[in-house]
Amino acid sequence: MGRFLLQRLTYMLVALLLIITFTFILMHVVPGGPFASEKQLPESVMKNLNEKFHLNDPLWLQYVKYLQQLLKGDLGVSFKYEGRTVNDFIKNGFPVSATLGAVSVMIALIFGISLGIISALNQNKWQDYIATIFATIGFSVPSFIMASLLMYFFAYKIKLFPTAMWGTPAHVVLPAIALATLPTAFISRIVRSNMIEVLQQDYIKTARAKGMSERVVIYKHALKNAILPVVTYLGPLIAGVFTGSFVVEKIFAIPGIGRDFVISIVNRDYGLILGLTVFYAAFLMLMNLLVDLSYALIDPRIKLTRKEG
Amino acid sequence: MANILEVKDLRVNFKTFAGDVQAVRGVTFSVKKGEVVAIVGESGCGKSVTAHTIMKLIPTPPGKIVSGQILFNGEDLVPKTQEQMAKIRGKEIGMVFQDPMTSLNPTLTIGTQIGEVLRVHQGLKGEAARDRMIELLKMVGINQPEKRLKQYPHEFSGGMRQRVLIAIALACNPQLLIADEPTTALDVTIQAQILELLKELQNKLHMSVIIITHDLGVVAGFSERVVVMYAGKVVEEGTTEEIFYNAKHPYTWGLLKSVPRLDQDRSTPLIPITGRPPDLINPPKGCAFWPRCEHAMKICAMYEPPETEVTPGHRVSCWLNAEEVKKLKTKAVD
Repeated sequence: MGRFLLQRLTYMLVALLLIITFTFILMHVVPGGPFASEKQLPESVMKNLNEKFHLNDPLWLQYVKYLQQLLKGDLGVSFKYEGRTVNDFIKNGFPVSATLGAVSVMIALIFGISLGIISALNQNKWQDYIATIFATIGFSVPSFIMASLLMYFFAYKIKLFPTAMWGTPAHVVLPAIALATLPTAFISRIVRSNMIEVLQQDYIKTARAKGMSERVVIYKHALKNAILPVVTYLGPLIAGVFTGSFVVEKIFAIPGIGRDFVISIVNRDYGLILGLTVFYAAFLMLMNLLVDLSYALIDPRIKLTRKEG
Repeated sequence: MANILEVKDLRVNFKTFAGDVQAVRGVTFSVKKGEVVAIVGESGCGKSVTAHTIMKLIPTPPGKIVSGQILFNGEDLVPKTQEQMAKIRGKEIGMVFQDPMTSLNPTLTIGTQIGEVLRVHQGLKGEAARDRMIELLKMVGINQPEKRLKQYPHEFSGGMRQRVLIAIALACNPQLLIADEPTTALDVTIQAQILELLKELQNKLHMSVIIITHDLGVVAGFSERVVVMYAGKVVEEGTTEEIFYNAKHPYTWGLLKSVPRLDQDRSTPLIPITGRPPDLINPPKGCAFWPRCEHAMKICAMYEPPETEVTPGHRVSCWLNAEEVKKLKTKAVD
């Protein structure tokens, strides 16, 4: 277990270094720079700006300097927003995105698993067909359309929830639903197909032959086996949803990190791009690690050991 | 002695796209208290479906009990709901299945899987449940029961898993144990051990056992009576002695001939029953076995054979044994 963790953490560092390197190269390969879009700046100002952010240094030196700075836990500064560090952006934006994300993941899990079970237990009956229709809609309607529709009906027409902005629990509802639509559909499908398969297993027959009630058979014996693939999907889902969906955050005017991320790219804000990428990548890898660890809790056959060879 | 189980004219169909498969077509047999009855027959003859139907474990739909009665201690199980059956399963009737490798839940410990039976049917919890589980594991011959209770199925071999499944089936001292090919998926040496264990436990606990198998070797040393099934029907039934030494049905003869024997020259090939079992969507008119039967007569293809009693308790359904045919034959010889 200890060795497994150590090995995984080493892999994560290597992967992170590769991601930083590629992002760094790609960022500089793309024409333009952080100050290119502004109205023509005087030569001397440009020179000073480049000087200040070390943009005149050779690329390899900038790269090394960035890594050194990272080691100290400093993700860098924004080139566009005077005096704001990437750490500031994360400190302000991440809790917002994380709250929204957590609610979305909860919604997706609760509704996805319930729909999946209902479908599986009523295979090819009307309940299954209705769940399938919901899932198809969830799959095919993009989150921005879902967001607009929700906003139109629940905020504008019946005024149940605020249209946009952030602050109270009511503000979380609509964007969280919009963000949860796709994962809900996805999870319901995974649970359905796995549940159908698991319910045909011999050990389910054994459970019934033991005189277990249908409730125990489904929730104790079948669900635990059917849920493993959902856990696999949960890693990237949590990372993606926690760090925010730009579109949904933009539509609901939510000051989350997803919005910052996309704006940084539009602005060629070298510091912010790199910083947020590193943060996002590290978060994703951490979530995947947690998922792998939770496997062992759900399925005792999975042993966390170092791979041989 | 009293009958613990009486199956009367049981018919079970399965709906498929091709039509209704008549898996069980009027099966009648009984099991006495403390008796071991073997149901034998080749794959697809309906022996497993019969066993599952007694427990009402066949999926409905597509399965359906068309008619018949299953009297357990005189009470008909057919009209019972799944909830009512859940109170009988595991408590009054235990069941052991064919493949121990897949019959235990991989995500739950052995202790959990035995413990839940004790909790649901006997209300045993905590220490009491633990003591009983240890006793059960010892009873089925599992060493270090305290340690084994905390382990998961993947830490057990096939034979050990079957022992665990037997412990689960017997946890509440059922009156009847149904063993559905309990040794088929195991190595030969393990087969003998499991069979030995079942025999020993049957002796000790005085329960009735229905053992389903296609292996007459299993039958010989264990069961008191044998029910031979073919194409969803009982074709012959009698004491084990009668079936082995005085079988009357050509299908039973075929089964007996296809068993390897130690006293035979090893170069003697086994004699298989040629052909295939009939399609049970459209079962043949007359005797279902006639297309494969060496002794088939014209009448076999036209009318279903009547059941005749050879000696008390030895029933056979074959035209060769019908009084009318016997008379005709003796006439022809004269």
